[in-house]
Amino acid sequence: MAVSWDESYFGQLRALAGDGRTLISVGARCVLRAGDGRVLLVRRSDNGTWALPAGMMELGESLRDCAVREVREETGLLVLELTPFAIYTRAPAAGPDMYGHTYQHVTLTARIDAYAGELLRATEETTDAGWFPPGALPEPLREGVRRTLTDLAAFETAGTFTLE
Amino acid sequence: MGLSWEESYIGGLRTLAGDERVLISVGAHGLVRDPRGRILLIQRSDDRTWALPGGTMELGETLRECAIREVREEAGLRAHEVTPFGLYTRARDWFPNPYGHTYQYISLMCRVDRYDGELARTTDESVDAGWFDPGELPEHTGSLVLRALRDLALFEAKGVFALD
Repeated sequence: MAVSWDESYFGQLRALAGDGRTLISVGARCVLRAGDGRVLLVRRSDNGTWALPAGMMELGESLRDCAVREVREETGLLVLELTPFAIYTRAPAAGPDMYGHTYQHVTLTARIDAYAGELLRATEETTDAGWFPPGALPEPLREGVRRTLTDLAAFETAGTFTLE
Repeated sequence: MGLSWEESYIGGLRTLAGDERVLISVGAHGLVRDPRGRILLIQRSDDRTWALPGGTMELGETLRECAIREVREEAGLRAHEVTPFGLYTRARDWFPNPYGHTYQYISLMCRVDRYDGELARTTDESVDAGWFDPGELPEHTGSLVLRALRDLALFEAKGVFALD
């Protein structure tokens, strides 16, 4: 069971900072693949987009543990091994989120190399989940999914670690 | 010359949050080597330990830019290329700094691959600087330096990105 926004580190920081201030957030995003190369996406209950499992870090947690927790919370799967391949840190070109808040997200992005368990189709944070071929991703697709998959391909073919 | 504490992102956040709250701080460190394989350490003005140039990210800059800026501000060198080799998230490695404030420090560790300029022995944030053989580090070398040297060796031998 996830902590609520009000209890979370970034929820509390937002309450202290007010709605107008841009905050730097820290979190993790994960790519899980089936044996045939299909990618796991979840449908977010907050905005209805299809997205990679992801979320913000809590105080006292490592980013590795954050990645494992977010996959567990949003898919039910247990991550056993992961490989980081990108860190996105750029200031947002897009405006505020659906709550009117603006963040500069620092996002560790990892490929999940081994996992166990059964996929949950719905969780507290998701209304659906499924495996999709990278060439046939569902809409509405969350911003950044295609870019993440492109950067993973560069990592796997050329060893390029994305930092930007 | 960097921003003052009051003008900085983390300084502003500290003012909002008060002195007691543990905050997540995001930043970067640069590990610079000379052609003989010696590493650059600076002696910090705040606690007099020997450390890698590094510091906290500002809104609107990327973590890559942060690493480059900190090497410039704390050592006078212009870094032209950096390679990330680790992301330290230090889940429970908390301690009050000389100002009595506690942070969970998240730091991107970058190897500086190409640089120019003259080493500045003293800056706003340092009282000395020098090149040291990894086997002969000065007294009061920070633990982060030792960890970075171990992780960089592993990265260069096996391509392992250090993530905790």
